[in-house]
Amino acid sequence: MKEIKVNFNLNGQEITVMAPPDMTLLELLREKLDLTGTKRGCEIGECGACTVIIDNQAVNSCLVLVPQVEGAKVITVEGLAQNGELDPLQQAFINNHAIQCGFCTPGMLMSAKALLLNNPNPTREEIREAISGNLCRCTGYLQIIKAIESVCQ
Amino acid sequence: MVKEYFQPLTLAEALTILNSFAGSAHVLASGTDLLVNLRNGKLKPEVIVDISKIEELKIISQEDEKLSLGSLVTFRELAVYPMIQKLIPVLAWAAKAVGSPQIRNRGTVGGNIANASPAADLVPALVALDGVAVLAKQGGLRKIPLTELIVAPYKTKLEPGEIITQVEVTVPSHETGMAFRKVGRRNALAISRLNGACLLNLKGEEITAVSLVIGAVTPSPRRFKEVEEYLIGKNISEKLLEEAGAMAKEKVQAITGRRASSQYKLPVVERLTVRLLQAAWKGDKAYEGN
Repeated sequence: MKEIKVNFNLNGQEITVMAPPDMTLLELLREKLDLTGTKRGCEIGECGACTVIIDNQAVNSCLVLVPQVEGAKVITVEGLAQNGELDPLQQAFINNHAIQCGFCTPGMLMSAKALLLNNPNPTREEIREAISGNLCRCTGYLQIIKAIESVCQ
Repeated sequence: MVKEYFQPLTLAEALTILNSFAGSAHVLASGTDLLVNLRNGKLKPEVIVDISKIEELKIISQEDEKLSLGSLVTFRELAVYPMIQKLIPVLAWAAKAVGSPQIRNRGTVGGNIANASPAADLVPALVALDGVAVLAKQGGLRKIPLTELIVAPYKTKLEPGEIITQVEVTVPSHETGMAFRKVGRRNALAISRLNGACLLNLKGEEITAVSLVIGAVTPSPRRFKEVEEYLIGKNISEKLLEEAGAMAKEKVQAITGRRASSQYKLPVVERLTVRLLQAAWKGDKAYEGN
């Protein structure tokens, strides 16, 4: 079918895209907009590698069709750094060695960012829960939790 | 191949569109189940009606003892809504058991019911509360208990052109004990091997009312009426709950027959039943994962 027009806010900018209605947000980001920070993992909502933030909530971008983001505010990992400065969360991941192979990192960052947007001072348990939908096959969870804790108020 | 995609903003508009396709259109709520089936090719809809922008289906309302959940209320909203945490915590616990934060942020009450997975986590809690679905199609509304709506795994009695608009439950009296448990390989992301919900009322030691649902073991969700009837009128004790567990196990075996999974599932049904009743009796402070 013909492509349809979708307007949304991506990383602070209002954009208009044309996309087939059965294209996922993940495909749009990676294939059409060249934002490859968002990773393609399981594509069935189990691994969390494709996590982005939609209207302040962490979401699997593989389970969202492009037309569903009409009018929404979407943040991807590329939207975290501001004016060339890493987000404190990104810097904390570096400082705490919270990266091994790096594949889960963008998704982890977005889940952590969504948590901090809604709850700037989470407990360790709340941090663990917030990243429970993100799999790290290198199993570096402890460093990730420490990194998130280090930026809490 | 999707040929047409509609995104109505009102229920009336959605029903008109659905009616005009005589049932060949697929309803998309949030898509956490539908997109998985699109991707693996199980589903090849030509027409999608995306109802996710219909604000009137996102409302939680209470009138006296009736609580109405809009079909697009998300699991996250259910888990954090103060009135639900206070009055019907079993719904909040069940909602919190679903998937992962990402799934709970999207997945909806109506989607969980319409998908009719036998392992749905919210459905046992809604069935324990005798939940009734409100269904709309062009030219009419009807109400149907969830136990009649969901007839088999992934099968409902939803008619062509019909969508779930609300689920209604009666708010239990404030002294009602409640419990929810999920058994899975891990807490997050695991699809329930078994789950269950329980409501319990006591007068002194005597059981005056009980509602027990064990999910993911029977083809469609149901209250375990035989076990409930056995318990009502008796004084509660650990021994009585053990008897209830044994009865639940026998009941599941009678419904499903012996299966490869029976050796695992039947003993778990027994313990899960006992633990649900214990938790509802002694106070389930919070959903603890299993």
